[in-house]
Amino acid sequence: MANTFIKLGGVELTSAQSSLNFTSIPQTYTDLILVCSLRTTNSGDFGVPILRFNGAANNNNMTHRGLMLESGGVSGGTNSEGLVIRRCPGANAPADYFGSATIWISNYASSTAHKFFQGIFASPRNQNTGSAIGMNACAWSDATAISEINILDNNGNSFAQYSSAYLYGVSNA
Amino acid sequence: MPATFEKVASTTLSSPALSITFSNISQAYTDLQIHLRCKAASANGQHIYVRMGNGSVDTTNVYSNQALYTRGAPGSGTSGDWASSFSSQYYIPYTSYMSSDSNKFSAFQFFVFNYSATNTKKAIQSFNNTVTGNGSEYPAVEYSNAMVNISQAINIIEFRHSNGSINLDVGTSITIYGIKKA
Repeated sequence: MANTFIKLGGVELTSAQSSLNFTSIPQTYTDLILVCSLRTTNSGDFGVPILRFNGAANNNNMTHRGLMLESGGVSGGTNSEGLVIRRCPGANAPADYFGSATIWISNYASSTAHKFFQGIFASPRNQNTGSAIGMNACAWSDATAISEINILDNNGNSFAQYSSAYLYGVSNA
Repeated sequence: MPATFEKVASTTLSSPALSITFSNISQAYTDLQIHLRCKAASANGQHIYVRMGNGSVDTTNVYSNQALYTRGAPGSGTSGDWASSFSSQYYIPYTSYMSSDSNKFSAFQFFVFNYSATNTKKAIQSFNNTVTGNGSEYPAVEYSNAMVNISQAINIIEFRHSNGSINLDVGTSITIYGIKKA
């Protein structure tokens, strides 16, 4: 029986970049799983990674709801960011600290269904304030098949060198 | 390198059905990861019931339930935790339904750990992203888990709507993947 957990692509930054991108995603799988290790150049304790699809220029039609153990508790919003990750270390975090996240995008290739994606993340901050952890669900009210994934910082910061993301396809065929 | 993540079985409904049952599940894996994309054919009842067993599904009080959740409209939603004593099903809450959510399928990841063991109770958990609101599109996230008081190997799993007379709708899809440690 064929192995169904196939790496579709991966990127590890060799210098700071404003986004990590997957383009021309094959439409031959059922679900996508995205595994990230991220750190931003934001001068604070943390950055706020978001997802957008198909090169969208804004967060329209994105809705999220999540739980985060940090100081903020529950969050939610409409026409808000694709806040499936929500935190990764910023420049104030100790060197070499990266946050991790795993995201599942269900039914991404459908051209009739809206897209639901969810993730869990953990982000070390610094020795004094510990980590942020959480789980989030997002809806993209758009029936367009996802052929491109863009990982951005919601405040416009760049991702630091060695940030990485890997995309896997899972098939029910 | 041996394959460690393989499809075991899959069903996509081409017509509404009260339940989806996987029987004779291969015992060749260590854990099961199950992907559900589901929608009910109407409202009135909201959850997906999961039962499992060896040879037949166990409908006695062998399933505990507990969860963390947040759901509802932004600014007015709720969050918290809940738990129940052993009951006759594990349930995954709040699937979307047909009348107002025709293009919205709830998405669940469901895990059964050590399912083929014959001498341990089974730990299960699910990670759920669903639709709440009547016609609105508010995601809800819930992490739930349970201890299933069954020591036999699991070779049958049933999924059905919590209202026994409501169908799972066309397009509902469930796929079981096996994960090997060997």
